[in-house]
Amino acid sequence: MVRRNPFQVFLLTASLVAAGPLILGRPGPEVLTATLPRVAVTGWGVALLTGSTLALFGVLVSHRSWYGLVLERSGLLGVGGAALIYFGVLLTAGHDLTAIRYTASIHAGYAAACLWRAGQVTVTMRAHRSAKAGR
Amino acid sequence: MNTTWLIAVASVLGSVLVTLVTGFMARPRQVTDINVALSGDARAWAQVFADRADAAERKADDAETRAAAAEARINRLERHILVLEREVRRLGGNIPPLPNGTA
Repeated sequence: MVRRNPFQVFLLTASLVAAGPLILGRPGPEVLTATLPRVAVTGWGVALLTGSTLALFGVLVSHRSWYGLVLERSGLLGVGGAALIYFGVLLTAGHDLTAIRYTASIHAGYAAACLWRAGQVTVTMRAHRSAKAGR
Repeated sequence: MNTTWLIAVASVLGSVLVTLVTGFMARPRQVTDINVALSGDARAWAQVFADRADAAERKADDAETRAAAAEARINRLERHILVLEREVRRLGGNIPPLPNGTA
C-alpha cells in the first residue's frame, strides 16, 4: 500500500498556488519586490513553481520509483531554497524583528523541513542503489 | 547586495537542475541488466543443467516402462501359479508350504 504524507502534499500544493501569480507577472510578496531585483523575484518564483511541481509529481505520480525519488528530492531543494531565500530577505530587509518573527520562523521551518526530507530521500536512494546492486 | 541575491536564486535553480540530471544519470541498473552481464557462463551452465534434466527424464520414462512390463509379467506368473496349484490339487497332491522368508 502506497502511503503519501498528506502534510507534504498540502504544503507543496500551497507552494504551487503561491508561485503561480509570480510566473504570470503579477506582483510577488512585497518584501521580495522591495528587496530583490526584478529578475531575482522571477527566478525565486520559478524555483518555487518548478520545485513544488517536481516534488508533487514525484510524490503523487512516480511515488517509490527511482525517478519519483529524483523528482521529489530536486523539487524539495528548489522549494527549500526558495523558502531559505525568503527567510534571508526578511532578516536583511531591515524590518522590525518582532513584526516579522512569525513569517520568518514559518519560512525557516519550511526550508529546514524541505532539506530534511531531501536528505531522507537521498538515504532512500542510496538504499535503493545498494539493493539493486546486490551489495 | 542585489548580486548576492541573484547568485542565491541562481544557486537554488542550479541545484535543482544538477540534482535532477545527476539523479536521472545515477539510475541503478536493474537486476535483469546484471543477469545480461553474467549471461556468458550463466547461460552455458543453464544449458548443461537443462541437458542433464532431459537425460534424467528420459531415463525415468524408460525405467517406468520397464517397471510396467515387469509388473505385467509378475501378474501373468501369479495366474500361471494358481492354475498349476489347482492342477496339483486335482491330481491329489498337496502344495508344500513355502520356506521361511520367501513369501
